[in-house]
Amino acid sequence: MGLDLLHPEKWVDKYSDYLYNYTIVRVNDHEIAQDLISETFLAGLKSKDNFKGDASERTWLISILKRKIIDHYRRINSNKGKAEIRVNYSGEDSEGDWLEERVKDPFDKTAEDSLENEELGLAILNCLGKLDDRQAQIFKRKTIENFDTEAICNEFDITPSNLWVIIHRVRRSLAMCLQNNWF
Amino acid sequence: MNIGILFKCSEAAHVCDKSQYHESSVFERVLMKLHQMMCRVCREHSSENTKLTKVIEKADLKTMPEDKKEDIRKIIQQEISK
Repeated sequence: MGLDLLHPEKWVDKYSDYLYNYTIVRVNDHEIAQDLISETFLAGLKSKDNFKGDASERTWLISILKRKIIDHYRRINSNKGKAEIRVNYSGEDSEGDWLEERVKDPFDKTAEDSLENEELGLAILNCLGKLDDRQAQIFKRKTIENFDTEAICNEFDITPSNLWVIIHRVRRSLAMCLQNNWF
Repeated sequence: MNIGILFKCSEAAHVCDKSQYHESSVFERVLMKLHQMMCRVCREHSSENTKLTKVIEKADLKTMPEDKKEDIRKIIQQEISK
């Protein structure tokens, strides 16, 4: 029954960036984040019969990913022999900044800011996920990955005019979606 | 003669989009500004568009590397075809 409701062949295109941003702030390591997402998709496939369609595909995958992240920390902690959980990193430079250290400073808003930024990022990706896959991909190339117009045109076999029309449409849809769901 | 009126709203919107990616010329931006001085709709659109750019920058989004995505696609495909 699960596979009737699930579309695993589209998971990477539809959810990988969303899951990646969700994971990266929690594990602060690109390689580990990629591995956890890969494991999540595989676990999703293996337990596809458990998917009843009550929640959305993405929510279901997130619930699997959460368990994967917890397992990851359990593995680390069992190796270290003590419990440590790192939350809300602002970047690679902030490695070693533990939540316990941060809460000591009442004027340090970094943790709160990064939580808000994370939610904002997920809201943007959620809105992009509602759009046509190809258009969303072109928008990500241009806006998030900062690819050259020419490189994107070559990759997707479109003219610069096509590209700007797509960018314009996506920006308008995104603005409307964020207006309804974020601001 | 007011040259701002020579610029259509659709052209102003196009330059506004390109400006978000620093790909518009000075001349295009001047024409866009002249147009916006007379067109409230385009002025508001420009303001919203710039706000969207700032919001996206603030979110500091990451994308998974394309080669890794391809690897995962292959793994999923293998699992489905089992």
